[in-house]
Amino acid sequence: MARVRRCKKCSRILPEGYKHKRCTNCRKASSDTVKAVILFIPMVCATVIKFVIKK
Amino acid sequence: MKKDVILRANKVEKNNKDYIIIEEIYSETSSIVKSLINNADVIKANITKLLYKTPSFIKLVKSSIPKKEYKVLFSSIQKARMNNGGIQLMQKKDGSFIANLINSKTKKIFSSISLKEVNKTPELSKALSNYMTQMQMAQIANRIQQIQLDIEEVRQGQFDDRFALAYSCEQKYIQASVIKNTQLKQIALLKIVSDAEDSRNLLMKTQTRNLEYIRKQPESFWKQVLSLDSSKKVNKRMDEIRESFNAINMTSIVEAVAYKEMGEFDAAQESLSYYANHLKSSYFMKKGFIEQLDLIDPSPENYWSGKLPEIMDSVQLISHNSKVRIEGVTYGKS
Repeated sequence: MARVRRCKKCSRILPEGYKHKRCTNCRKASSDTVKAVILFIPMVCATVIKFVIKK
Repeated sequence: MKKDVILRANKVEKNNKDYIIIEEIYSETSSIVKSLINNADVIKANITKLLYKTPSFIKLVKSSIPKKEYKVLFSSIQKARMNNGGIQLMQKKDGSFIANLINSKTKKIFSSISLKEVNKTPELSKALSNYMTQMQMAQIANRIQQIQLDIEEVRQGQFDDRFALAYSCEQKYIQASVIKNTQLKQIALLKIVSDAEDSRNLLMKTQTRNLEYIRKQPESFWKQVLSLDSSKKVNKRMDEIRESFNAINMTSIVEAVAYKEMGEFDAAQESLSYYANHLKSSYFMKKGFIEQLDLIDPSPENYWSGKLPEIMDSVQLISHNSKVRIEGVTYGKS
């Protein structure tokens, strides 16, 4: 009997042959977080640099 | 021994009390955290807007602070003598000038120079125009966002209209089934069948478009990061697919039962056969698509791989097997 694999985050059953540890829905949510961080951090750094550096 | 038991019992009770206290504290903070999480999108959007405006605003404030400069004032006599070369500015060994005038020949101090303090803001106009440009761009970005929201509302409105048509067919059937006048009942049932078919086709088109959107969603994590679609948008489309699936199911049943009421069993089978073909072409054409729907659905219950094949089999059975019919009163016979 094939071992039933579950998503690490939401515990839904993953189909056979699925190579990831989390389901597409959970991975999509993580990718949104990464996207937000990638866009947010440079903006904050740019503002801080503008404020700190004196011409 | 007894003492030990009592101590242990006390210990357990003490521990229980401790646990209770911890739980209470936890439940208080979680409501604060919950409200933060709920408003996270709004807070993030506001912070982003603020960060867009902040650099130019800071530059404007910095450039509005006047810088002190000293202006040299020469009298007309001094100017004339300097032009003749009779006097010159006193110079240090390192080459910098001092505010004294010296005789060019004797190198003796002729007179001192008067200085005037002046407050200048040389970059103020540039900073101001930059800030105005930034504000205009922020306004344009806001406007574009608002247009996107309006378009989404129009789309949602269209979707709601199609749903309203589907659910009205159900209500019409319930009301038509109690009409006593046989002629009126027949007219009503014919209208219901026609409306149900129109509504069903509209919903099928919407569902096909949403399914195509889901089919195109990237599998790889980094492609998802680069994609413009958020998980919120994908979840919304999945909800629409579920709702439209439910509505199409319902209108198909209403249509088939209305045909049955009129005594037209072949027409009922034909309408269900059309539904079966739609299910086959939408969900079962591409291998692994049902599993993809399960993985992308916000609900973790694996609905698509569980229920959909059952529904497909039932619909196919009823539509192809002439012996399997919904039993009921044959309409029209005296």
